[in-house]
Amino acid sequence: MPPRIVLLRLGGALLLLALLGVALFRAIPIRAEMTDLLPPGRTPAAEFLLRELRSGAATTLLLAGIESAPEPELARLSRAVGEGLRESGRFSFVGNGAQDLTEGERDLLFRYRYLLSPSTSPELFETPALAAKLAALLDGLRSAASPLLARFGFADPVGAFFDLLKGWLGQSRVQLRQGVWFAEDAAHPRALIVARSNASGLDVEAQAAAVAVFRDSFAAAGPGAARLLVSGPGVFGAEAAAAIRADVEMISVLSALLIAGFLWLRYRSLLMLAAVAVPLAAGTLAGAAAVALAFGAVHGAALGFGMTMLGVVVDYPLLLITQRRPEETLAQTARRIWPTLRLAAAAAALGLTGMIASGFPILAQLGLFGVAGLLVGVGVTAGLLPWLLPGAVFAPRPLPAVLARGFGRLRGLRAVALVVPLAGLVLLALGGPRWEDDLARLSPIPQAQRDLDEQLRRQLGAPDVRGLVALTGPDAETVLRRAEAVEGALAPLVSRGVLGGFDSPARYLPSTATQRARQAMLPTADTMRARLAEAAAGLPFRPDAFARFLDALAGSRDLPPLVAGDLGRLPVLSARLGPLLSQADGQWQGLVIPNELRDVAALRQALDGLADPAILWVDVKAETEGVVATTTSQALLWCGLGGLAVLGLLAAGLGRGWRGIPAALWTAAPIIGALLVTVTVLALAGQRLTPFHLAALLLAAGVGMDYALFLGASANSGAAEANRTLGAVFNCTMTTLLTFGLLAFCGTPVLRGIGLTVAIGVIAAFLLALTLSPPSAPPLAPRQKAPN
Amino acid sequence: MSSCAKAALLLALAFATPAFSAETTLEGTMRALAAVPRSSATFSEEKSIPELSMPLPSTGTLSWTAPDQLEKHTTYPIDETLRVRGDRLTLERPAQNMRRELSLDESPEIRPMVEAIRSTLAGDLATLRKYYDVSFGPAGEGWHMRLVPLSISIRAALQQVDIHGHAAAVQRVETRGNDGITRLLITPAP
Repeated sequence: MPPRIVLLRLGGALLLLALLGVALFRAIPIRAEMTDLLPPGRTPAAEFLLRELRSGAATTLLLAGIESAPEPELARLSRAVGEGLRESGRFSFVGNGAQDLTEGERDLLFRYRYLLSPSTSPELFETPALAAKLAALLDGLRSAASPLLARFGFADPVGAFFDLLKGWLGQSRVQLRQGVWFAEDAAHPRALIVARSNASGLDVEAQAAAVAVFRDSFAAAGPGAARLLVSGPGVFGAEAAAAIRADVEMISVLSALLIAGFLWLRYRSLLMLAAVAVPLAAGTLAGAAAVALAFGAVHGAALGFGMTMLGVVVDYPLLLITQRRPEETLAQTARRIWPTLRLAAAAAALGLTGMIASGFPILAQLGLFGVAGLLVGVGVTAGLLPWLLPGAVFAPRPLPAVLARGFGRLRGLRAVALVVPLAGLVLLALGGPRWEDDLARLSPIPQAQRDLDEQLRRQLGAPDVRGLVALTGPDAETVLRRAEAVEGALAPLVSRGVLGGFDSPARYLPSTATQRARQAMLPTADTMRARLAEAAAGLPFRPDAFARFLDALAGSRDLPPLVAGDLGRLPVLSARLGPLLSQADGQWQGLVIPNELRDVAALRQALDGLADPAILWVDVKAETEGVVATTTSQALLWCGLGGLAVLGLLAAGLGRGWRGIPAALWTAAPIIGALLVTVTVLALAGQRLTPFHLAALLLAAGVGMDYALFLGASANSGAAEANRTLGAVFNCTMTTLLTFGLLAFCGTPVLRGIGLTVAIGVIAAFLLALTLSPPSAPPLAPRQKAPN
Repeated sequence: MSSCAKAALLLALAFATPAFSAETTLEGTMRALAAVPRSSATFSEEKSIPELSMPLPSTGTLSWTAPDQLEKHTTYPIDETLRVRGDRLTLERPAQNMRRELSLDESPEIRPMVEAIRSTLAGDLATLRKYYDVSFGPAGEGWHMRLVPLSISIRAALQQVDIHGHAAAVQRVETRGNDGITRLLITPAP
């Protein structure tokens, strides 16, 4: 039985930590911003793209599918959800079915037809064109479509209104069944809904509230067995955090059980588990607190990753407790190993500091989390643990004979180190490690969520954007004029067949200048009356048949041009225009989106001809890949600097001046070798490296450093000491493997990558550190081993 | 004879009697129309549009296949086929190489116009009443049905439809809309 005082102190410490933990997680905000999951941009085009990803029009869009019920039920649910969304007032646009112009909007657009329609031109009102239009009108009146033509044809015989509406028709892929949108290519019926929330993409709470309205409306509709699938950037950050939390919870429980089992096996003491938990909990709390202090909040994803990564803190108490000599108190052990422990922890922490400077928010949070956690973990281990465990004795069980013999043979078996150059050759043959170039895969958004988003987007007919032309200006008019300039530059490409077409804000809302120019083209009623009479000669139109047309011409010339401020009265027009024209921070921004672009160079050349710096071509694919490459190379640079700093630290720690360098290199050699082996194994396993892999490599290096330092330091202290250290390092390796090995099975790709990297790195570091450490006296057979 | 068999016999007798020997009711007429699996006819139509100084005539054939297929093939003065089947409406004018297709679900303004004819031919009173206020009465040898759109916005384009018929045949359809008055005369094909 452990002494009462140990139970009291240890229990008290754990209770205190638990209370602190509860208080801390109540106090610090946990964020779920998409923003933090995106790397920084370093070119204007990349910055634009990332700003769009963070706060652009697309971020306010929510896509939803309802499925797993018969079609009529899905239609009912879709209508109910649509109504709920519209009533909430949180959405500027909700689309789930036949989207009719309201009478008010249609009348307004009809009134503005000659100002808005692209077909307005002087020729349109000349007698020859009129004669053709009138003949076509009569022909149409004979047809079954006559009610429609009679309604608009006499007031607009030139067909400007029909041309206007025709230009608006998108190439939508949705199908209307039972009055609501259904996915066309789905194996099972799936009703589709698109909604654009009023809130900015940066307002996470409002976005979350918008998603909640979605779910509440669905729940209120009595969905039965039907399922609601919601996607969109507003969901991503939260989904990522939730998925990571689920993974982390599973891993925490499983690895805690496994580690408990392992510790029981090795120490036959449950108290050991509590002792190990103290520095781990303290480190985790310190990490979260440090990030909250520095960044104002902790991202859910960073918290999840950080907690898993800090699993390595368990090593410190294990090293301390296991390396105690029989005659020592724990406090004496702590003092004896402190220089090495301090050096190991400082080196690991120094390696991670590079991430803080990476500029990639989640990576920076993760780096700080790790640094603070490692340092506090090691401090608590050396400073507090001996006090918490006065007189407690944990006697590690001897290593199983097979392992002891095996490790004994490995120790100093330099030939094993040949695996390092071999790995180098394999890596060369593979053409080096493969780097991730897909921005989507760099973010911890779960794959299933991304697949759903991609699927809904395709089903809703959202274009696959290869690139876009971004326009900026101080006001909407300037942006619309720029859009018209771009339209003019691109039109020849469309007629040459290089470009399929494009969507432009000015197609829906022409600039005031263009509208005024069209007004100036309109003939007077008197001129028009004479031309109409001439054009209608021989046709059975009554003389006053076109009175409404003549009135409209006169009226159109006096209309104040339609401007962005009028959009409130035009919901359908706003819905079309919204994604293409927006205002943020006093700046207006427009997008011209080309489709079926076959020659990027020709497009760029056409845009260059405009020589307007406010018109920016953004090659989406190239820019996102560029962002990933830049982020990765930055991370690599910081890792390299971190590595050099670690070497410097080792040199300083292991000896004075230049003499420390060979020792530092010798200590670092197994780590460098382990990193090379790890990268090779990852490449062989088909993993594409991301900055998260680099972070994990740094962590593995930090952990491996402990092994190399302690195995190196103990090598000349006698067989018993060497074996004790070997046992401690082995226990560390096993607990690390039990945590990170499990990560390889979780659903979040980033966590999987971290798990795989650390697990491989730790095994390689352990084996290499063992083989490269100086050979000592032959290991004691288990029965000879002194009881400690 | 069991009561069951008696009921069956009575039922059989009821069906054996001609539908119009009884008094002409809306329900009875609808049942009679619903019993027609297919029919074809020729038509002549005259549109009187207020803005035109003369009416526009046209002729062609009509064919109906229960429960929801209607084809109006105009042969004079232009060749045009209007086909309705389920939710789809297609309008073809081969001379101009024109083909338009639309979904009736998607076109709430067109649907009532289609249903006035189609649901009458189908004897589908429920659908008619979804869009129209239906009044019905005997007229001469046959019957007369007046359809007034329920929706105010539809009434702006289509004020009323008068359908005259005899027994299970529709003979005349007169439509008052914003394109004037259209009179459609239907002669059953031999």
